[in-house]
Amino acid sequence: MADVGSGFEAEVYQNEFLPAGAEIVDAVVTVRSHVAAGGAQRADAVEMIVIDTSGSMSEEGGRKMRAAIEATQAAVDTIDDGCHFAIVGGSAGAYMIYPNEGLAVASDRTRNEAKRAVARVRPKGGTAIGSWLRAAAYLAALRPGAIAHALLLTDGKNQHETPEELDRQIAECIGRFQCDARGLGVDWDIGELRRVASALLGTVDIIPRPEDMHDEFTALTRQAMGKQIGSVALRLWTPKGSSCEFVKQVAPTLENLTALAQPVDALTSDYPLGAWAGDEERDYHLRIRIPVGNVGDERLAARVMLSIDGVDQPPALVRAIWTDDERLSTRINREVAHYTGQAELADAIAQGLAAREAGDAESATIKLGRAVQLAHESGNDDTVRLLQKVVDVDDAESGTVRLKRQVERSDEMALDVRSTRTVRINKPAGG
Amino acid sequence: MSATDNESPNGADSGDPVDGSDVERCPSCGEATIAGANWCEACGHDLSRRPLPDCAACGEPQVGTDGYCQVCGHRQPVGRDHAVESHGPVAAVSDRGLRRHQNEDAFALGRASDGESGPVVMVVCDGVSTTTGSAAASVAAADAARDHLVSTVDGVSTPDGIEQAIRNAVMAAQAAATDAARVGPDGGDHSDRSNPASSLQAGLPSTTLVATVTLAADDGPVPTSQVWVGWVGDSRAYVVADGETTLLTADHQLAGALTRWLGADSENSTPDVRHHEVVGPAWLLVCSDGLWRYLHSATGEPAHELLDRLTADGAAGRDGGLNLVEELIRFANDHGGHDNVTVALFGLNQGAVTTVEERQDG
Repeated sequence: MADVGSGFEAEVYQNEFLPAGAEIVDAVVTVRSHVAAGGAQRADAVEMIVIDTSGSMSEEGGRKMRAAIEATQAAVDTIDDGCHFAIVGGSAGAYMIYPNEGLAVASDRTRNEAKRAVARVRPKGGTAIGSWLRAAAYLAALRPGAIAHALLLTDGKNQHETPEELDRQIAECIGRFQCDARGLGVDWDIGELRRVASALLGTVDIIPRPEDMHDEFTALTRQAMGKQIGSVALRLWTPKGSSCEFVKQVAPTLENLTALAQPVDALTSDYPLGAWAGDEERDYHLRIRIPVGNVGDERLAARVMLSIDGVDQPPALVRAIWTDDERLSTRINREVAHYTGQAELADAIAQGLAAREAGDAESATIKLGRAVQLAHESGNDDTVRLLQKVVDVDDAESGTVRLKRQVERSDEMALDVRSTRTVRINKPAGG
Repeated sequence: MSATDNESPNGADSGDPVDGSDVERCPSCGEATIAGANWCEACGHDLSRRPLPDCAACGEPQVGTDGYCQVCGHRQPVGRDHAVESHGPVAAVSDRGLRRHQNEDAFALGRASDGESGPVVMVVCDGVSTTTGSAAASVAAADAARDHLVSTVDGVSTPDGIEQAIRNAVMAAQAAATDAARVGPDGGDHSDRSNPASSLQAGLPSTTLVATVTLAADDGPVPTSQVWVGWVGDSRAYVVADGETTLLTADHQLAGALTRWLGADSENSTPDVRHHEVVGPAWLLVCSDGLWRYLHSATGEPAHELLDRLTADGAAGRDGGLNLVEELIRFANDHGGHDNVTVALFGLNQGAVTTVEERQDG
């Protein structure tokens, strides 16, 4: 256990013993924050609620828009006093719902004004999510150094913008704020929101029914209010001649961070981890390819540091020791194996759903069966339940399943969008 | 005196000064600097950023404070990788070898009283590499046996008394090795330090032990030494003289597996103890199997050459011991260095004719 400074710990799990000639080093790094309640001064925070007010929100007799308004009002009530906030409406462009411009400082008065303002919203127009993000980036920039978070809701696809325009806007927003993206109903595009959330270090999920929005908005806002430490980065040193195969967050969800690397020097890169609450725990899986050493050699494969608000903390070490002792080199590290399995589970679901979509029932059955097996083995019960809405499970242990004939679109989407949720390995007490 | 006295607990040993000089010189102008100064008095060079030592593997001047090269990541050698101790005619080296990632061997040297004539104690332990924590067990056992012997054998004149002291020392070593298991894996064992949740323990820490007590009896016409050796496991003691090698021990092993060892799970930790009289100049060689497996290799030839050197140098002088020990270590590493290798050497009797005779005591 390396205590990496103010309230952060990093712990490495690996089998450092490699057989002769091996060049791949896998390690799981658990990063844990533990800031005592009230112990740390909470950083300046910006909360932005970005809601879809396009014409489709008037469907179902206006039920969707009314639910979105109520959910937004509930979220506003959750914003802490003193926190900067804004409500942005989104259609073919973005516009301010509250305040008229810039950010408001949360108080009883501003919260009430905001709730009245959002109640006056009337849905119309199209959907251009990139323009909504641009507005959020503008607002976040008004409070440099603050922990900025956006809750983005859409009920439709990004129809009034090209995919390239959306990607360009997403790229512009990276590092400016974090974004949890939510799709209401079944007419939105998982890929679009996943791109937004992945790049902006947030989560993506489906809200199947309008009445579910209230709880989801409240929970997300409360979670955002809990973030105490902004701009944490995983700083990774690897030896000369090595390459980083991947850096993935593997718990609580799978997120491939490899492409987010920002070079620090020839051997060091930063991977942004976003803002942290005072008592969070996340797991990362690193895979490094390093120059092969001789049997008996020990080499450092990586130094894993946390860079908190730009300040480096002492590193946790990932090592490689080449041995001709097979008892050592064939040891399976539980953590690495577990998360390798969770990644395979997500892949099996994605491939199974794609095959099902393409009408390839045979492949879909095999892949989704494998997914049931993996989810069952690893104790990922939530994923088992989601899978059971798409397949009938004859035997979870062997992965024997049959595709259901009738599947609710929202169940299929929920399985897809939540396929990256992992469970953690059962750790021994105190471990 | 211990094999681990020079081990850095945090593995951040930056190495000895190369030139042996204590004077720090300014890296810019070469003038001697004032200890602790942040600036060179001569040229004003900033001394607070001292250059890092060179990497043993890639040569870059980039060794970090964590003991790994900042460029290639190679772990730098630290204390126990190559532990050296030398006291007059007694010298010992323990080396990691080439194929193991850590040194689980240990040695401990001692003299039971001040002066040249006190009984000399040498202990070599070989931690069993298949069990975690053996690196700690071997050090604990070697130190415990040495400490017990050093404090009890002086003044003991009867052979039975010395034999009993050795048996008691092995009991102390057994207790220390068992304690090492209770304390938990330590002493540089890597797998458990970085895998707290992986529970990869393959067994309890365990170690072999060989201990010698040597009494010089130079009042006779020919210098003579009385050598007692006690052992558990397959570490060995030899007397080398006149090109002849006499094995003083008999391995406790069956079909390649140890039948006796020290440690919490040991079923038999009773030592065999023997007493020899060595007349004339000779080397008392105590070693782990990392050396003797090569002494008895199929070809045998290089071993003979080496033992001939031991014979030649045996008469030459009392201080050549360390060089010969290093040569034996190199010999093992040149032949593969598959295991940790530990050698302790004591030049006995500076006289003319050598005989080795087993004594039947009681």
